[in-house]
Amino acid sequence: MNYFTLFSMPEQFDISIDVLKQRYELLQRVTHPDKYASASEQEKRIYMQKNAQVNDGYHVLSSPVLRGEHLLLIREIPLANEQDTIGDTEFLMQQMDLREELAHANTIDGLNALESSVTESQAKYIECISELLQENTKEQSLRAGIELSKLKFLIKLASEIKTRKHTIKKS
Amino acid sequence: MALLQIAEPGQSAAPHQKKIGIGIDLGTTNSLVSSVQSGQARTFADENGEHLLPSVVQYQEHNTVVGSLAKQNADDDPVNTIVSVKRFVGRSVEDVTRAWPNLPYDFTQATGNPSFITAQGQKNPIEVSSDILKALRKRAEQALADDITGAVITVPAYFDDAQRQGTKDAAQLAGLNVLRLLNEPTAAAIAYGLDQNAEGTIVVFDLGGGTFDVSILKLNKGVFEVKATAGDTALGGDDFDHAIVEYASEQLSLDPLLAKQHHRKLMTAAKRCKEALSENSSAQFTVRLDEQDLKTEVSREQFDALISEAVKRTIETCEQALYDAELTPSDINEVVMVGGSTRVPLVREKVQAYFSTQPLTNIDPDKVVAIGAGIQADILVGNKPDSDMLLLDVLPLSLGIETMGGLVEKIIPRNTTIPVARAQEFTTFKDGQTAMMVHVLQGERELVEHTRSLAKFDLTEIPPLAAGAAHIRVTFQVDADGLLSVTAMEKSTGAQAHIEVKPSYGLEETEILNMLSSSMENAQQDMQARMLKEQQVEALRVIESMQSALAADGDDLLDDEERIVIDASVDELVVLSTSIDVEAIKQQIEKLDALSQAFANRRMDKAISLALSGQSVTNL
Repeated sequence: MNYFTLFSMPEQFDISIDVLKQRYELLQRVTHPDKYASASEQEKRIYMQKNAQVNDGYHVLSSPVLRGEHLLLIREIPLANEQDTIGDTEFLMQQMDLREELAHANTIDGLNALESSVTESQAKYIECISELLQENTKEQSLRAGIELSKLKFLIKLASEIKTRKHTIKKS
Repeated sequence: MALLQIAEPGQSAAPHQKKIGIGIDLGTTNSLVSSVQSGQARTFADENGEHLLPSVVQYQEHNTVVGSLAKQNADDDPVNTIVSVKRFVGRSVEDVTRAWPNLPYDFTQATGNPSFITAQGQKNPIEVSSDILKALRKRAEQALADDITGAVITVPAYFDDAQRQGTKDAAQLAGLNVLRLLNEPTAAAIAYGLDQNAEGTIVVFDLGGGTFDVSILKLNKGVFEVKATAGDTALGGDDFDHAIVEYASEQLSLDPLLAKQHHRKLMTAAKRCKEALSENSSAQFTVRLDEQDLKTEVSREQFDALISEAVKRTIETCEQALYDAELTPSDINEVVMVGGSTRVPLVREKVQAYFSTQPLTNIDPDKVVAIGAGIQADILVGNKPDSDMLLLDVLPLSLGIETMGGLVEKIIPRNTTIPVARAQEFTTFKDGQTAMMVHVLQGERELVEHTRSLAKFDLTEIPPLAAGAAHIRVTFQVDADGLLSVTAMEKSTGAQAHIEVKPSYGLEETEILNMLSSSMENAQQDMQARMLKEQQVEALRVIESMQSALAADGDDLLDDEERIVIDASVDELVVLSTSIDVEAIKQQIEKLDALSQAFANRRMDKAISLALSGQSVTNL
């Protein structure tokens, strides 16, 4: 399933989230199971499946990582595995530093500072991925795949920061 | 009997005919049924003018009693009178007896699926629930003097798959076509028309007779999302009554033994006194014990002092829910009051003070959930084709599977918009392995033992391949009611792996069918009559929707050959639908379904591109 086609959006990494939201609402209005609650079993079935695709498509397209991976899938580019990322020593060192910082951050202020530096870093990766994916060449796409998997590391780190903040606030 | 009206293509059989959707609040203590009549959702009363049906069922040897009469008999016949059955649905005996150790019931077994031993034989919670639903259905049918097209039934937001499935099974057993299971707090918000607002954060404060629930809903462009729920399963209006009983007993210097003996009478007197205190600054507590009239006065201040601890606990629970949702009281735009106990002035005061907003109370708090369900049912049967209400719901609890070491791997996280389908790939770890087991769990915790076991799936008939060569793609699908179904396919061969579902709680499909047939007196005949009626109704639905589809898009989306085939198949179904051959009707529906699949898909694609193209133009 090509979600760009489903949402009638250009097959590219840079998309307007506003337009995506509008399309999502329109697609919901056509496919939501509530519209077919008294329809025949056939209609219930096909619209329910379509609506599940609409929900998943929205989920995928609204997330930069999933959108990027979806684009690579359409271009038939294999996704990067962990080895490709770990091969990048500079990135590895940076990750270790950030993890170290997280391990030692015990105050909300410290965690906030760490969080904003991670957010900034994420934005840089997204920019880089967007540039790499602009041209549909195999080489660029493969490189984008590696950057995407790095972005995943940062997203995981950001969620760990959030969890830590939550635990500190609780106690 | 005229079962079928045939209309010209493009016209529905009877355009003026209003379909009837009912809303049911299947509560722990009381249940209600409602429907939209002349544009207004109203609940139905019994012959005594009572809208609330106590959720109590008494099984006498030859008779089933539901409602207030059963409630009156509960003290004299506790073993056969099932109270608060909702607590048992989708739960094991251990689950329930751990929380309520002093239940008067006899169970068939000490573990697993509960079944009550009654004077009428074994009854499981789904059968008991269905007896309550039958009583409500009958009440609605009598009031409306018409057949019911379908029902919306409310469930607590935190209900898991087993509890939702149990509720739906009970409805099926009661002969109701379930249009949708709707979350209780969402229903309350709909009753107040809050779905019309563009966005906002809503607290639903539900204080019933014996349970307290608070839910935080986030509304964004018609998407209702449950952000957090918290509650106390042993806190409610009964505690207020109990406090009054203790106070009055002390004032009247009642002999404790006498008080114990007449506990129910005293509780009833306390309830009357409490209700009077909602309107007045003081009220009389009056009771007649052993031919003696006893009387004492309770002031509002005294009452407030008696219940202040209990009310404080409700606010603390709100704090907990806000905390879980990462919100503060000032983030809340509206507070909806649900449950009879929210009439108590102190409750309203404390809620208003905590959230700094006037809570919504102008709809009867006992009826608000049923009213919301009735409004939704009216829309779902198609009485409001122009309604632009779009209610998107989310999965209340994460779905996952058991992995190595008793850990849970989440497949679909909570708060994912439903319906949803997610696939997961599994592989074999032994050469020639042809079967594997998948354990499906629901909950937020990481260890299997801390989550709820939903079902175990045996995947069999996997083609024998080398270890790791077979890739089995298992698709988890959750429908709009939050109910899970699973399919599996081996990828390299495309072989459909066979799945056998063993629900951990609740019943299997065959058990439901058995219950259905045994619940009818002339089982065989009644079952057939019911199945015939169901097939005829479905045939009508298929014919109606196919005729209007053909009228709208037949010329456009079908070539002559396709059209001839479908037309002929519809005609055949029209003829068959008045016959009494259940199997033939069923087969013809399936045949037409298969023949028209491509047409249905083309129509859907057309509708989608039409919706999107209008949008694209305005966007340019």
